[in-house]
Amino acid sequence: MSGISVIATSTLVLGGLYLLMAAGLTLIWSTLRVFNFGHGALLMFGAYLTWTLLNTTGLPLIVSLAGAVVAMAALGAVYEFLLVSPFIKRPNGDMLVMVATLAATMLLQSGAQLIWGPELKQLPPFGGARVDVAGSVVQGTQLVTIVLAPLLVGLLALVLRRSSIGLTVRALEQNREHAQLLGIPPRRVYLFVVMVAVGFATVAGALLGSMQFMSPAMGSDPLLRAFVVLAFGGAGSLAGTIAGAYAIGLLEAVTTYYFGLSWSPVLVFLAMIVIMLVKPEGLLHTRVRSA
Amino acid sequence: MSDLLTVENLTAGYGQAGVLRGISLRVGENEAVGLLGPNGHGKTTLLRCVSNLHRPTSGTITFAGRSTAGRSPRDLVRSGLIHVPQGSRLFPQLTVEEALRLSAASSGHAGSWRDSLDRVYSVFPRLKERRRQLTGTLSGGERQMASLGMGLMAQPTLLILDEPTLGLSPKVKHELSECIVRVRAEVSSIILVDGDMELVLDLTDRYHVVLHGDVVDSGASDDERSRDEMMSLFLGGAADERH
Repeated sequence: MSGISVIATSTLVLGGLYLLMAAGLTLIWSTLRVFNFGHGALLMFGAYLTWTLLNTTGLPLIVSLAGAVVAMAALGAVYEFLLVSPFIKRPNGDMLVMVATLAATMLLQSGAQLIWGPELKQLPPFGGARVDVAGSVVQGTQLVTIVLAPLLVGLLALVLRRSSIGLTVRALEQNREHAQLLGIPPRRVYLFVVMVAVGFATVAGALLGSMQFMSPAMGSDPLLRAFVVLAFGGAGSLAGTIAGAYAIGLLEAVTTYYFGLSWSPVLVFLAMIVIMLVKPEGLLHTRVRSA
Repeated sequence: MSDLLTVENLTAGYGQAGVLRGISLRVGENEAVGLLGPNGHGKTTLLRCVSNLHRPTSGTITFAGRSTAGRSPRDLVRSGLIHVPQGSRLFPQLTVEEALRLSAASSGHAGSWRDSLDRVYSVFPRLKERRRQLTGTLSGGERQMASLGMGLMAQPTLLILDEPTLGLSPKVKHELSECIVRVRAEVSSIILVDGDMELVLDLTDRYHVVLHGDVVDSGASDDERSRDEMMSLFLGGAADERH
């Protein structure tokens, strides 16, 4: 198996996972102006919930995942109701919300530990399809990740671009006060955005939980990587996020291949520090003239 | 003439700083009311209270027979109270037509947005030329036109215009004031705030002068009263402020 195809596969798989995480975070950032620290824990919770649905109902994996997405979106609504709206309108509300989401992480992680216990769990592979690419085989969950992640995020981009709720979301992103004066209800937009973001995190969680063992802390790494993606692509731009996710995936794949698994995170975060020093608004961020 | 909007004994401020000090005024149906006065004396705060972007400390606001207390900006928009804010940078990444459609949809008039669009384009032919352009790339005058056009798209009964000609060159200002005359014909009642006193008096039926958060002078806009006198009132007020 050639190095190139290993790196390419791993770039697309990692990039896809980070994309599912970071797209939700970007959406929340651009409308609420808040970084959701709870996103990793929500990913984990979604993975466990998929596992429970799979094992208690006997439904196929993909149906269990769909059920988990719906249930997690509902949990997302509760999350918004309890952690976001009580704080967001207060002075320094964004800080309060971020601390609240950090607290939610602890709660969800301990909750998962209590509900599902410490034994290792893993989801089965998503299907048995396999593709032969330049001598290496890509199959199962990896293949699904490579296809599904850009598909879902592309769909999201389309909804934001074309639908009336998308127009509302973009308006609120660009000018919150004027949006309110037009009669746009910020609460409903926040609710929509958080529910969609949590749904995406759930998909990422199930894919990850099928590729490796699940644990209550399984969301921490993807969360940190998604943070780097936002730093890279410029939080708030979906196009930047897409490019950022695959760029970080590539960086991680290359460094893992050449320097080993333990050096890869070091180099990824080194890259982030350099980006933040050189171009803090994100490498791909371009400012639209607004004055 | 029955009142569309009444404001009674309104006080409001930011933190410890009081801005409005028991201000009262009313706007009748089919009436255009102008607010005059130097910057920093509470005109914008008053308007923000009326559309519930800012919560007053005390006093009452009644619109179309109902108190506005505790109602969301959305609720007020849907009952016909439309506020075109001061110096909005609009929605830089939306096209002119998207912004206009958005205003119709979010005020509950999604069904009739095409008719409203035709009306707005007849009032502002320039917006029709620019309809595919991002609002972030418009000139200052065009941005104001888009802002006013968005106001019209919401089918207002009371249209609040806060400093529509702020920062515009005299030529563009002239063009815009002609547009405002056409806007006036489209809506029942208007509150107009602008730094250009002549413009406000030309376009309104009555005026109020706001100083230190209260109305200090009122009258009919076509009164032969000396405009110099009013100007000295402003300058006096501004001079007080410096002490």
